[in-house]
Amino acid sequence: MFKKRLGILFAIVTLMITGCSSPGSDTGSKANTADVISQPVTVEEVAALGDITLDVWADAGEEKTMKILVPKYEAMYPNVKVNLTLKGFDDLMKTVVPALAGDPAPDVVQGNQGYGVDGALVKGGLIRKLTDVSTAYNWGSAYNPDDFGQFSWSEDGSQYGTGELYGMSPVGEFVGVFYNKKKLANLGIALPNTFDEFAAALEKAKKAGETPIILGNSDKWPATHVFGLIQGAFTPASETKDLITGKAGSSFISSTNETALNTMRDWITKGYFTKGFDGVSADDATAKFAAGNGLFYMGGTWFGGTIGEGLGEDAGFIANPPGASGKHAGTGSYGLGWHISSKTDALAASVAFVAMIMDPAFAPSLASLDRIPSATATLEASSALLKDMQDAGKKMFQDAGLTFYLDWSTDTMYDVYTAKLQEFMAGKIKAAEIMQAIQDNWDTFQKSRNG
Amino acid sequence: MSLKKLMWRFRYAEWSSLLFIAPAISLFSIFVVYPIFQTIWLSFWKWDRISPGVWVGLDNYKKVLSNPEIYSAFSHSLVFVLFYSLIPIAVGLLITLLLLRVKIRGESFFRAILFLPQIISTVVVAISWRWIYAADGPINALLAKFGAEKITTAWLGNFDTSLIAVGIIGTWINYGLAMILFLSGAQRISQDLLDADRIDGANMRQEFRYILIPSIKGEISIVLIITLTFALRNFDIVWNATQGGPGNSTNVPSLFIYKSAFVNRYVGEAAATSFLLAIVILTVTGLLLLARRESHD
Repeated sequence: MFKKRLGILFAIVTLMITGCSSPGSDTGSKANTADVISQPVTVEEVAALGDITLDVWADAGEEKTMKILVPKYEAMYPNVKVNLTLKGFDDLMKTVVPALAGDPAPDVVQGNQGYGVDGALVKGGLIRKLTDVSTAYNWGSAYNPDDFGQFSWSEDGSQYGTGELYGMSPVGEFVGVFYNKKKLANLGIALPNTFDEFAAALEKAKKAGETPIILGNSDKWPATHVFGLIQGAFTPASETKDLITGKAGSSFISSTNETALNTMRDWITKGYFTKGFDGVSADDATAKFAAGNGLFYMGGTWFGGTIGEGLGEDAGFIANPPGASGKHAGTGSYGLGWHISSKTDALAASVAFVAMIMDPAFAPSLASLDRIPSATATLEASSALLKDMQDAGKKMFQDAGLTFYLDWSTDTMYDVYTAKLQEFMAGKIKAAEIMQAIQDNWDTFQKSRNG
Repeated sequence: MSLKKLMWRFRYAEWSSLLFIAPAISLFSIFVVYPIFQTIWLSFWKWDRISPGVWVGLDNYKKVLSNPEIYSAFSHSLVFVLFYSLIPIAVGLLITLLLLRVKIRGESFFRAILFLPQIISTVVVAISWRWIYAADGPINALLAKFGAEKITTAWLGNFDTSLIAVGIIGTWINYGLAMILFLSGAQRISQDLLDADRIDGANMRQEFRYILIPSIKGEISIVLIITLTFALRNFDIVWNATQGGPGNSTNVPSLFIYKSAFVNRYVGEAAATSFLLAIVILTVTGLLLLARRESHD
């Protein structure tokens, strides 16, 4: 009886094991990349597809934009019904790659620049090149072509920053310095135009008993944005971008990065940041600043809505105060790129959707939602804060100062960078150690990428 | 009745009973057994959820075991065993002993209140504690009020206090479970025994040692198994309270699994870590069950 039971158990185990086929053997089989777009897609071309549903996956932050865009699109292309799926950023980043690898895949999606998501999508052949679409719609004249690198890849996904265009976004999102106008005036501090003036303003605010910079870093990423701004004052933007895009010979270990790190540490020891910032969430910190606490808040333009709502007319924004080079540089990029699935059966409809959101004529709609259009045309701003952000954006775009995000540089950089930066900020490790840890992660990834 | 007929009846009875448990067995096989085998299978592959997987044998296990961070993560789990399991059991026993000796009006109301942490969503619990522990939160306000401002800190944001602070959240959640199970076990103790014991002059310590503990031995081992498993596989509290930070000071194996599988798409490594974690949990609970069986014998 025992032998028999053992036999049955063995049979079940064998069945279970053999039931597991080689993982990933059934993905990426239906790529549809043959069609080339040489002219803007016409209504007739989309109508020729018959009654179809266009599956679109977007970040939840796009909700208001989609509420304007989708009805406009469906009115123009009445045979297409848009099936919109909105996901929180974290959820979207975790699901978009397997979703495009699966079947059926969504037609149009938002990814994220860098090796972690876009790199995986290109490497897996899951998204379609948009170089032909860019040429057909002349995106090069509406947007600064220097900025296309963040969506450009070699066809095998091994080289970032050059090659074919695989995505595009109509908005810029960058980190700058929010300030409380009323407090700045009360403290008798002039709006800083340079990094030295900014540092002097922090010192003066601290002496006056004010918290100079509101920071909440329990989510780990906010401090990387603050460091990005300090780094932008010392390290040329091109050097940081070269590292992030994986240019051979790039290094994070540099005297300028060391100076930036030590400046940040110096500010911490002087008590310029919120007390206990590693125990405060980004949302709570933003809410505190919006409620009138602190003088400055080094955060992304995406916080403009919350801060503007809280501080009203007292809310101001400046681009990162430049260092000795006089060039504005700091963490930021275009928004999450729009991509077209390489498996889509509705290429014309997909191209029409992406083209509509990228159309400079749509930029006023984006601006009306307090977003910063990356199109080069000048727009009316609906509030003083938005005008500040648009002006700051112009300076950053003109100086090619958006240094992207360091975590784009490898698929595990986020964990290393955020954890080591927290250790460095707490005085647990020295500048040389965090630089080495980041460089080691980068070197290991580059080695694995190049075979 | 011939022997042959008897055997047939036995076999018929066995097969017909199998038929009754077939639905449960099927669901268990599909949703528990198959995923376990699939995880073991995936742990031998290098796979990013996009390209076809590559067979790498034991490489994923070698990678996981050569990562010093995984050992520190397991060591954090061991600290959590103290806070999620041993302290709640001690607190639960203390409350049970007190309620055994002292009759309180509205006892069931207090019992329900004390059990509340167990039924609140852990996400809500973690976020609430984040506020409680904040630099300008109520704990620090209280400390400042009593002149202990010097020791105020952002408890979850400080490398030296974060692990203990997260541990205390676990204690707060689990002591209610321990208390309820111990109280239900203690209800089996006959009032006559307690009365006789008190007439004989037994003090609280003796009542605890010679009556309470032997009476609720079964409940103690059940609570131990449940809370130990919770401590070792804990994810939600850590993720929502600190995300493993500051630095990696509260990192646990489950966070590794989550990041490897869903963020970095190293599915094979995530599967290998999951299997190793399962072995640790099974070993610990197995040893506990063995100890329980031996103490019963």
